[in-house]
Amino acid sequence: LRPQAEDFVKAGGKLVVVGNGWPAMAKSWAEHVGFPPSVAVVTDPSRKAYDVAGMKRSVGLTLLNPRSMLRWMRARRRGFRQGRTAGDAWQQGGALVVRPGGKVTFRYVSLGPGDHVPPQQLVAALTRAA
Amino acid sequence: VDLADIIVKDTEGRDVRLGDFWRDRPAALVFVRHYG
Repeated sequence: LRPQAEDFVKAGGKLVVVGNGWPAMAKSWAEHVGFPPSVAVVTDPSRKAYDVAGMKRSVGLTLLNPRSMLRWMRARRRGFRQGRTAGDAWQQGGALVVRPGGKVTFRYVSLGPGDHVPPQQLVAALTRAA
Repeated sequence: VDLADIIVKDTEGRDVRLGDFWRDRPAALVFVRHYG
């Protein structure tokens, strides 16, 4: 997401990255990734926002998912290595676009590790909402 | 529960109301699985 971070500003919106560890973990991770100041990094240790946003939490989706295994093998082949997990290992992610007033105009629910919304798709959804 | 009313923490540990992010412009929220 970091290379596209400014595209969210150009689209007329705000990129908010929500994690689920403690604030110190969020801070260390945000510094490591190097997000520009336009990006808000927040954390939701109770995972209440994940729940209300409709994100999933499952051991099965994380470990027993053949598509996740394939993505993991592909990522490993390309030289990507995951560092130590900081946060809830079973929580799945996703994305939303929310307009002023609270209407959700885009939702992507991740079904396992490596299942991410392409950043361009999210920028396009934000552009449509602006 | 309304997503807008959920209180999260910024990287300094301060409370932030999620809905404040989309008060006057749309927001893209990316929920990450975990840090790292």
